Amino acid sequence: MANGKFGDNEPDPIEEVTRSIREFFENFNASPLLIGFVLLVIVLGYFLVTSVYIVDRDQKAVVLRFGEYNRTALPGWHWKFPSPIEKKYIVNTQRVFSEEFGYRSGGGGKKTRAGYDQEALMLTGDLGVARVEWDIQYRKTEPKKFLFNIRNERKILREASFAAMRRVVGDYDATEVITVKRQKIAKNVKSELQEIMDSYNSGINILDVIIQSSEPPKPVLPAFKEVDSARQDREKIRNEALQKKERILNEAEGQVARMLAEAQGDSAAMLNRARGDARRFEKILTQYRAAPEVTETRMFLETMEGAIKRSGNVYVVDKDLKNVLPMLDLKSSGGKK
Amino acid sequence: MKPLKIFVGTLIVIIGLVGSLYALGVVYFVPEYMNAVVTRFGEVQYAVLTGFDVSKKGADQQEVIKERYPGKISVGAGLYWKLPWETTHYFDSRILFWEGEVKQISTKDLRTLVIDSSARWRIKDVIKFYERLGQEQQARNRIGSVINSNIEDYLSETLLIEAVRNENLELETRVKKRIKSLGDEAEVESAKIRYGRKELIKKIEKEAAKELRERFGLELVDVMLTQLNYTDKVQQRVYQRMSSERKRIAERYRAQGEKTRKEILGNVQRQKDQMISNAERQVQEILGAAESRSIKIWARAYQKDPDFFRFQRSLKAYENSFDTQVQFLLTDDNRLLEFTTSDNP
Repeated sequence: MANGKFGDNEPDPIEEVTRSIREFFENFNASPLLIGFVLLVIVLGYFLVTSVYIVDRDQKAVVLRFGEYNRTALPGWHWKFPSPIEKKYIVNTQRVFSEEFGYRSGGGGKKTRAGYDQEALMLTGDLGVARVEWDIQYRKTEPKKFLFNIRNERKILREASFAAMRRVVGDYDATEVITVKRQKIAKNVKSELQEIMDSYNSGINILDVIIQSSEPPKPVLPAFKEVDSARQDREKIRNEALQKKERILNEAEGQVARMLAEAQGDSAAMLNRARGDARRFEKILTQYRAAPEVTETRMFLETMEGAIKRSGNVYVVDKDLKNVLPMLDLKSSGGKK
Repeated sequence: MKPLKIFVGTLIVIIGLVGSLYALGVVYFVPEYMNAVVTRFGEVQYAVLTGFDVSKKGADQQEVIKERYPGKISVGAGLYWKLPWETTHYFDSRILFWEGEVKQISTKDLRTLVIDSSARWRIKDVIKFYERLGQEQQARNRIGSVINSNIEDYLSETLLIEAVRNENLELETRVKKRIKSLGDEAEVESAKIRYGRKELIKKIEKEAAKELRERFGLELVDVMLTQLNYTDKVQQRVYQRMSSERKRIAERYRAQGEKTRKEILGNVQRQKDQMISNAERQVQEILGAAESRSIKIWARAYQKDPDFFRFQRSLKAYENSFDTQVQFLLTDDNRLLEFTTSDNP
């Protein structure tokens, strides 16, 4: 079998190997006990390599015997029958996996958004368009279900997430999607996604759905910003008007207080004058009553005296005189004697 | 040393035995996630169905398949016997996915959309699957043509709004109100939905599932629309509509601001006038009260001697009113001149 290719002089390579092995054992001159020991080591080695396995702290292992589910192993050292009698499947049950939609985060918290519009753009309930970026976090909590009920869980999860987000966003209008309803949408998507995963019996537990950003598509952004600034303007105008109102009312209050204070002052002065007059009159009256004739005369004369002195123009006429004009040129002689 | 030797010995015997039987082709294993079909010279002899944690529905489906091929079906993973000249074929029993491609579709209201779809499926009747398709790729092709045509059929007789929304009365009235307030009657019509997205998908699923089950032994688990967007051209128009809608809202906010300002300030002028006139009234009241008290005080005092008051007050009046310009023209019988005339007594 070995000739043809090789020359007669050349030794057959297979024969060469068997001969060298034979020579090795002949030269070794080993006892049967040693041979037995070597065989045992080889068997134990095989046993060790395919039978002993380690399950890490965040993992669980599912063991199939002849393909049939036999047991689930918890973290630690374990052994099983060598393959192919028993096979083990290790699942990271504690680890949190995540998927991103509408963006990809690179190293150092850098986000790439360009090129993922297809994932992020979706129709809203008012037939507008919103751009939503979100991520989901999940755990493979039930290894049996996870291993034996679904294949390619990442793909399945991504498709379900796309569909669920679009379905939920379709029930809100564009303004709601980008503002007040973000939390609610995330919550609804999470429960819908969990429902879908449960319907597959997938053993996957959705931990969280987080909307990273939801905003209008770029071309519409300026118009949305305009609405924001108009709303702010409205508040500003209102506040300014309220301030002005406050100022005017404060001024009016001050004016009112001033008017009232003045009136109070005036009325106090008026009363004081009246009281003063009354007291003075009463005092004079007392003395007058003591000597009415004399006092009256004195007062009359003193008053007239003063008046005439100030005037300096006194004319005495006969009481029977009918007219003073022939005598006096009143117009030109005022102030003369 | 002895028990270890026995243990190791037994192990070697078991491994050797199973190994040689396996090598002879007399045993085969069916794992939990696989179905198996055993054929003899291309003829199906029997099949093993698995499906871990099967629901009630799944178990019923397996019963149906068992009845369809009497004596040929075993259920459950594990070790099975066969004749050495028989061949085993394995097919996945897990849920698999079919990924549609992005395509353009027109709705009933003639809006062109870009859609993408996907479906979950699994092999149920593995014998039918083996005989009619044989490979997963074949299955995916069939699923694709069935689902694509169904989606096209249903979407072309559906209004866009039905594909976007689930039934949601709350939103309907909200959108109506908002659109109405913007004075856009045209949009109000389209804001009504009759069955919505969930129902639409259900219809597509139902039709496709029947065909795939009967023809190829496949179970269609679900169908999803993973994308639903406007085409670029339509998108531009939609963006314009959204922009102008926003601008109208902004305009309204501005008008509201102006209106509120006028309301606040118009009111304030009125309030101020009221406060001042009120204060004026109070001032008059205060002064009036003071005056009336003054009059009372004066009267009480002067009442004590009205004649003297008249006299005294007259004197005061003379004193206050006679200034330097006054010229006195006294008759000779005046009281002042009492002592100057000759006929004095």
